[in-house]
Amino acid sequence: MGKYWKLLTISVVIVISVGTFYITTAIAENSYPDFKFKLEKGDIKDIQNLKLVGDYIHGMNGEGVAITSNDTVYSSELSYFSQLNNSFYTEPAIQQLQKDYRGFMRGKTWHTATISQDEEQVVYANVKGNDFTNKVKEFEIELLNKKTNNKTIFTVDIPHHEKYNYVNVENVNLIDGKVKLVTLNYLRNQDQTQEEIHLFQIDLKKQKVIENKVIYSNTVQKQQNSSLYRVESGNTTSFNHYTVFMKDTFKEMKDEYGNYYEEIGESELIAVNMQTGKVATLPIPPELDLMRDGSTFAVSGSKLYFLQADGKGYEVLEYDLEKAALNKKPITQLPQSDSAPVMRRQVKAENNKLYIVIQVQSQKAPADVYVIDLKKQQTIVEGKLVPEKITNDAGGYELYINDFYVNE
Amino acid sequence: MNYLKLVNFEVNRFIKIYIVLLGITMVSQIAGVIVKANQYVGDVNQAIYEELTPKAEFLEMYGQISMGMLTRSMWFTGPIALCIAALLFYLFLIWYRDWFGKNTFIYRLLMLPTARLNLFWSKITTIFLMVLGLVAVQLLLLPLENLFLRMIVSKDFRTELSIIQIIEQSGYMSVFIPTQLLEFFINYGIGFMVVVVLFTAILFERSFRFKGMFLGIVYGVSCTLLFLSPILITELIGVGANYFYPNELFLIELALGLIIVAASIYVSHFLIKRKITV
Repeated sequence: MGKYWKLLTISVVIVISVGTFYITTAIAENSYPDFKFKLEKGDIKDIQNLKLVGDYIHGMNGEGVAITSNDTVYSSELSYFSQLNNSFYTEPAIQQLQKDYRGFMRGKTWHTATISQDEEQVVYANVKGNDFTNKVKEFEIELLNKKTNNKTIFTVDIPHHEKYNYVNVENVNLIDGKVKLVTLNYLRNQDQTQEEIHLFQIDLKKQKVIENKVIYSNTVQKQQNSSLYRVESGNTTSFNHYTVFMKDTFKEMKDEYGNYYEEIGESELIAVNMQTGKVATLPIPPELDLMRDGSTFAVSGSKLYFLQADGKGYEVLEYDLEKAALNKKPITQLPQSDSAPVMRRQVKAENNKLYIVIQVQSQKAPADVYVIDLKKQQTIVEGKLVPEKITNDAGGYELYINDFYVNE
Repeated sequence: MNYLKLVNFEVNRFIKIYIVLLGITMVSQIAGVIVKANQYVGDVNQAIYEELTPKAEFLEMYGQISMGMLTRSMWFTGPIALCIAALLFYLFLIWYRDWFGKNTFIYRLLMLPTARLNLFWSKITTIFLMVLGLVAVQLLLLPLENLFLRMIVSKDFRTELSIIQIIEQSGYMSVFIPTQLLEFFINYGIGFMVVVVLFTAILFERSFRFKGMFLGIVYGVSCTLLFLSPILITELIGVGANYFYPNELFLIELALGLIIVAASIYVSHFLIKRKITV
């Protein structure tokens, strides 16, 4: 045995050192807090389908986190396969479709913008793409009959595709045997018009584009810049009849030292009725203070909902998209939260309910959660997100809520 | 017992260089912690006692010191890169030294009354022991270095990190010390596959010399293409790289990896038994 001592020493050191590391890693409890919803009003059952996803930052460390009324899961607690599936940020509606129609969902983008469904069918439409060349040439349309499991797959040429650098499918719908597609087309030649919003109608029987309507051209003047983006994603796969975009205009300004900077000018909402193809442009009153990101607004039926600070808290306002008019009387009032500065507010509509998550800069309660019944026009849930054990470490923590999902 | 004897023999042949590598790593990393920590304390003292900067302002400007930060300094990356380079070099040397050594040692090795494939296994085992040995020492060093940092810098000025946090913050350490055991097996499994394929290519060269070098390269490239084929094929036929669900892709890669390893061992067995030339 004596002559093997070097080999033996190396082996023993490896087994002890690496072994101890993985054993302690496996049994170590995460020191991060569990978050709970503390309700001041309503029933916890009404937010059981709510899932907040974001990042928990503690000092220089950060981790992804998903919070529901049942549990708080940190990304390091996920299994390897869940991490592979990116299970935090895959929308629940997509996860469910992948489970139910694995074959159909194979190879499709993991995003609800390109997929819609009702009881009978699932429809998918996207730009057929090659990840390497990113060529815009045709749409691929796929339809699944849920009962017979029959698939209809075909491609159609994108009309005048050579004009576009990039085409992004923003919403898909199936109405009266026609696939309706709202897309954002980025022009190759950006002299004045930068982007166009299109509404395509594709006939399923003829497998042809029967209508290609430019709904909106985003033209800009000199020394101006603008951005056009969809404002109500909702993460839902149910057929929605409206797709709403926001256009922000920026003015190019020069300061006293001759440096250029941009100043935000006017903004307007562009609501596309996917059934009729009608477009309503709604100027945003300058007194409205909006936080601009993908979930500032929510659409339910033909109404658009959003929040407006009013000094005492928030008003929940309603835009009637059919009449293109702002309802002067707020639906309901949300009380001011503690006076902690608001970081972000997100709104989503599902099943005639409005879900609101307001992220605030507070360690005791980093978010407020509200649910509003849109039919009765009243708040049914009012609560706060609170950590179960507050870590007393210097520096504290920050919780960023990047998105939230409402299970359909 | 013959296999063990061969492993022991191979380990003993490399042990001097190995100890030097370990020594450089330990000295450099510990010295790095001491030097960097003292430098930081010096900066703190100068700022606070001489320039009278408030503590909060200093921290806002320079931040706290942490082990994660130190692992990204040359004191750490230098010796680790050196060890990696040395072991990569030794992957070739472990075979070629037998031919080009003082007295064509391979002749004696091949004449040993044991399965010749044991030679192959003993070399691969040695490489793996050396790699894991370095990882083990790194895992022992981290808590020690943490202790040194704690001794030099007071609590207000340093971020306390656990071993896992240090590994995550270093960025590169999580490649060879993944925090999940399954990932550990995946990473080292891929490493094992690469080494087996490389050894097969070396045996091709040793068997057919110049022609064999060509064969070895072709073999290596084919294995790489086979391993990447699920992604390449789905991209080529245009269904997109996400055609397979992640867990499917994992299982396919696992199967392909096993096929590549088995084929390489089979080919190596054939080469070392029938074709190898001295």
